[in-house]
This record gives sequence, C-alpha cells and structure tokens, in this order.
Amino acid sequence: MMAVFALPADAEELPQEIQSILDSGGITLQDTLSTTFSDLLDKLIGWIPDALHQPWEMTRRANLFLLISCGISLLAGHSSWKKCLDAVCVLGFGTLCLSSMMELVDQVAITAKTCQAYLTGFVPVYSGVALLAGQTAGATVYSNLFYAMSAFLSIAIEKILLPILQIYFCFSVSAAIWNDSGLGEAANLFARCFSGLLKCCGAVFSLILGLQNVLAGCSDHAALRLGKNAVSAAVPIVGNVAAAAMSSVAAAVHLLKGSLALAAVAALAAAFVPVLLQCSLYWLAFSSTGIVAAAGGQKQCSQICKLFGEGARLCGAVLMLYFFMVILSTMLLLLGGNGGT
Amino acid sequence: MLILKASAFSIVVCVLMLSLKKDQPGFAFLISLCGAMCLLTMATNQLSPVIAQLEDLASLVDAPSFGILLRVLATALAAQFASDLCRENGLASAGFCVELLGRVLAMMETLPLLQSLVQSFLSFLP
Amino acid sequence: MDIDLVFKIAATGIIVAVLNQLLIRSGREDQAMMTTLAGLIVVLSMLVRQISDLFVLIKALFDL
Repeated sequence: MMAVFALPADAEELPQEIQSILDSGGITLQDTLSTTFSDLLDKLIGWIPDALHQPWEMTRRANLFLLISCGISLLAGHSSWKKCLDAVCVLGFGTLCLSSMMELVDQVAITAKTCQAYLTGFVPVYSGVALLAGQTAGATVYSNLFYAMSAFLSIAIEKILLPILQIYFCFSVSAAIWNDSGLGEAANLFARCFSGLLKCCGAVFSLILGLQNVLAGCSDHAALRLGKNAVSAAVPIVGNVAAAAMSSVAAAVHLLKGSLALAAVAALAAAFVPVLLQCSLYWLAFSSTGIVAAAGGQKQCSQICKLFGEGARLCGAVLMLYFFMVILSTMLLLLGGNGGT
Repeated sequence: MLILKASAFSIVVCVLMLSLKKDQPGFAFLISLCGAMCLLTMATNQLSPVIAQLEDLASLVDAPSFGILLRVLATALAAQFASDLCRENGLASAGFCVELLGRVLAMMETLPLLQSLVQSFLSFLP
Repeated sequence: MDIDLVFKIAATGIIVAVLNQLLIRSGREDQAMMTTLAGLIVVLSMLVRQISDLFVLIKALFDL
C-alpha cells in the first residue's frame, strides 16, 4: 500500500484516490482554512430551511387538527359521548403524527447508511496516509478496529436501534388510545432505558477507541524515533539528511492527513447536521403542540406529543452517537502523532 | 338575543305540558316533543356556520378523519336526544337500546380509521 | 319549524281535553276516546312533516 501512496517530498499532484476523497467533501482545503465562524454560521443557517420544511408541515396540520377536535368536543359537551369523540380525535391525531415520525426514522437510517458507505471508501485511504506518516499501530487500529466498530454500529442502528424506535412510536400511540392504563408509564420507562443504553454504548466505544489510540500513539512515536535513529546510524554521512528528509515527508503527509480528516469531517457533517437539525426541530414542534393540546383539554393528544418528542430526541441521540464516534476516532488518529522530531 | 328567546320559550313549553299532563298525557308528550324540536332547529341553524368554518380548517389539514369525526358527533347528538326522550316518558329500556345502537353505529364509523392505523403499524414494523 | 306550532298543538290539546271531559260527563265515553284519538292523529300529522324537515336539515349539515 505504501508503494501506491508513495509521495515524493516535492510532489505537486495528489494521487487520484486522495483527490477524490478531498473533492467528495464538497469543500476544498483552501475554503476550510479560510472559513471563519460567520461562514460556518451562514452555512448552518442555510441548512435550516430544508430541515424546517417537514416539521413545520406536521406542526401546522397537528395544530389545526387539535383546533378542530377542540371545537367538536365543545359541541359534544359533558355527556358520556365525550369519551367516544375523544377516542376518535386521538386516532386521527396519532395517524397524523405517526406517518411523519416514520419518515424521520427512515431518514436517520439512510443517513447512517450513507455515512458507512463514505467510510468504506475513506478509511483505507486515511489509514494508508497515516502509515506513511509513521503511525503504523494507529493506522492499523483505525483500519481494523475502528472500521469494524463503525460497521457494527451502522448495522446495529439499521437492524436493532431503529426498529426498536419504530416499535416505541407505535407503542406510544396505543398507550394514548387506551387511556388510564399503565402503557403510558411503560412507554416513558422504555424511552429512559433506551437513552441509558445509548449512553452506555457511547461510553464503551469511546473508551475502547480512546484507550487503543493512546496506546497505539505511544508505540507510534517510539517506532518513528527508532526508525530515524536506525536510518541515521546505518547511513553515516547522509544519515542526518535522510532523517531530516523523513521528518519533512512526515510533516507533509501529516498536513495531507489533516486535510483528509477535515474533508471527512466536512462531508460527514454535511450529511449529519441537516438530519440532526430536523430531529431537534421535530422535538420543538412536538413540545409546542403538546402545550396547545393540554390547553385545549385534549389530554391523550398531549400525551402522544410528549412521547413522540422523546422519540425524536432519541433519533437525534442515535445519530449523535454514530457521528461523534466517527469524528472522535478520526481526530484521535489525526492528533495521535506528529511524526516525532 | 336568541338565548333569552330560547329560555323563555322552554319555560312556556314546560308550563303548557304540565297543564295537560294529567288529563291528556299524549298531548303533553307531543307538546314537549315539539318544543324540543323547535329548540333543536334553532341550534342547528346556528351550528351551520360553525361547521362550515371547521370544514374549511379541515381542508387545510387534509385529514380524512374530519368527516368521520363529524358523523360520530351527529350520531352522538341524535342518540342522546332519542334516549333522553324515551327516558322522559318512562321507557328506560328503549332509551338504553337507542343509546346502544348509537354507540354501535359510532364504532362502525370509526372502523376505517382504526383499520388504517393498524395497517400503518404493520407496514412500519419489520 | 315555528314556535307557533307549539301553541297550535297546545290549543288543540286543550280543546280535546275539554271535549273529552264534556263527552265523559254526558256519558258518551266511546265518543270521548275517539275524539282524543282524532286529536292525536291530527297533531301527529302536523308534526311528522316538521320532524322530517328537521332531520333533512341535520343530514345536510353533518353530511351524513
């Protein structure tokens, strides 16, 4: 692999694979280096209208529906028929919210898959460059352990976590329809367990990766120093020059590594942040609709809103787990070694 | 104001009914029935702009459940009226049967909504 | 449906009650019963049309 990525110290052009990864982020190195905070803010604000569209639609429809059901239960009065009408209102409201939540869950699944596909192309290139920079152990950890863990996490998200979230949403609607049962408390408990599970996973993964990277990093420094000492000892006259050249090559490759890492972070952020924004906007939408429902006397609808808001927050938490695990590992490898001196 | 007119009218109907109750109970019942129907007509006339407004809101929401909601409301009002009428005249059993019929019909109206919800559950779950 | 209808029915009822009492006092009980029945049928025929109009109105309003 080192032959494929062999870089002379004064190379003008990058190999094709590296260039394609740098380009796929949609951001050039110059742009990234010259990005100011206000540019980042503008970019974030540019993402908001797209992310806002679906939650806003859902909020509008939900609030109008609540208004209508308020009006109709006023007409029904305090008779025994009020319960019947409330049940019909809850059914309609639940159907409305469930469809938008299922769209969100599908969106989260697609994002996780896209990022995993990106990583499949990115990880070999990045670990190859890290190998060039002398971080053999770190690169091995990155290409093997981290890649395996991210693949595992992506599959876990698709096959386990998101189906569990879908079950949670259906469960919440049933809990709201069959009022006065323990199903509401069961749904709350479910949400709390799920978020606890996510926190545990995050802690475990960061511990494993952090520890491994720290250990690998120490051995990388030692390996590079050993290598340079060996070169300067074996080649008596030009040994120092060769050792210095090795340092500059390592520095150039480190810069490349940095730009690759930046490109990866930018590409993944462009995929993640809109969906994360959407999750938080949905949470906001459900909180406000819950307030309106409680004010209108629709207790079951406000229960649906509360449970669905929790669910949107959990979707966001799943994405955050994946995103930060990826970013953490990439940054750890980036910062783990500077090629020695 | 309409509400004052309606209150006065209901008092007059009560008086007329009570005066005929002992001698001609049949006529007393017919008077109370007619009075209730007049009040119902007044309420329905006032209700139509409200329902029209709700229908406009519902067309914005684009939800199929609004029509169902309206029909269940109508079933509820009609069943309540009929069962109260029966109970007033001592037919408690008939009143119960009318209410039962009303509930069954309301449930039948709600059935498509329930079916669509269960359908979406089954399609979303793996 | 007019408010006057109630007064019409009340008036019919009072007339029938008075006739009833008169006929019973003069010993013609069967004719008294027939008068009562006739009065009830007349009032019912007045009411039925109004009831059907009301139900048509409700049907149109709730789109049943």
